Amino acid sequence: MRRRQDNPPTVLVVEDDVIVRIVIADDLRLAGFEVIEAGSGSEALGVLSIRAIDLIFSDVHMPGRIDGLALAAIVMAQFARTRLILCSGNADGHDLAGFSGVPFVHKPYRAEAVIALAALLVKDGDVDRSQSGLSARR
Amino acid sequence: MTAASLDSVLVVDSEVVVRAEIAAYLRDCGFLVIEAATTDEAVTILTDGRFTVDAVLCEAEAQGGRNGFGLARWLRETRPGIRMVLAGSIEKTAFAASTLCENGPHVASPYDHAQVSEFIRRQLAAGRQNQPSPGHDA
Repeated sequence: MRRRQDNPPTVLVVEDDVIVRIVIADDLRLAGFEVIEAGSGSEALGVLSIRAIDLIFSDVHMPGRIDGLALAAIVMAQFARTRLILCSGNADGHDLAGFSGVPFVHKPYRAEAVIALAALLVKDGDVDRSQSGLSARR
Repeated sequence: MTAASLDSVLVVDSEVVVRAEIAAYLRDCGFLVIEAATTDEAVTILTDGRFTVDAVLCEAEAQGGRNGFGLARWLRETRPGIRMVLAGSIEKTAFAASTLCENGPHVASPYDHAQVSEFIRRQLAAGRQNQPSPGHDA
């Protein structure tokens, strides 16, 4: 349902650690985004089936059939207009092979940096990582 | 209905579409809202120590180590000051949310709870038809 008169970008936060999820979700809301929280890749697919999402901020390692990388592959194949940011505390280059165009954030991250990156992605559709303060995945 | 003011609500629902819409409705009422997908996540939030929760709105058949009734018993034993609201259907969840709004930071509900439940029903039906295919991932 449309609750606001403005039309803020919608971010889908996908994170199985509930404390991490609610903290970054609230920070993104305070920054002006509309935020939907999903606790798994499967929940994220459920949201994508009914809503247009501007940006997905997803953990890489999550339990269940759809982890962050499987989710990213589906989004890249079927939701080309939805931007992606992946994050993890322990993903390596092998995990992330095939996702060279997707911005990556190391955990623990600063909310300010995630917000800056999210704002750049939804505004321009691309990232100037020198401004975001975040590392680009090689 | 209690006379005490409520400021923060923990929404526990295993269906992301229901959880997100009810949470958004309560935020429009002025509540601080925390979302949990399972009763286990709810207990994690309630025992973390960083989050203030005045009321819990939980589906009766919530997933997790406890169902909604089990969470209600746990709350009564360990957090007797937190108001517990159990709901057994989408309609009752939406009605319970609107009732919470009457004691919330704002006086009026932002829109009719029947609209909320109907909107959720439509979204769930659309989601069943439009579920993204996990077969196209890399």
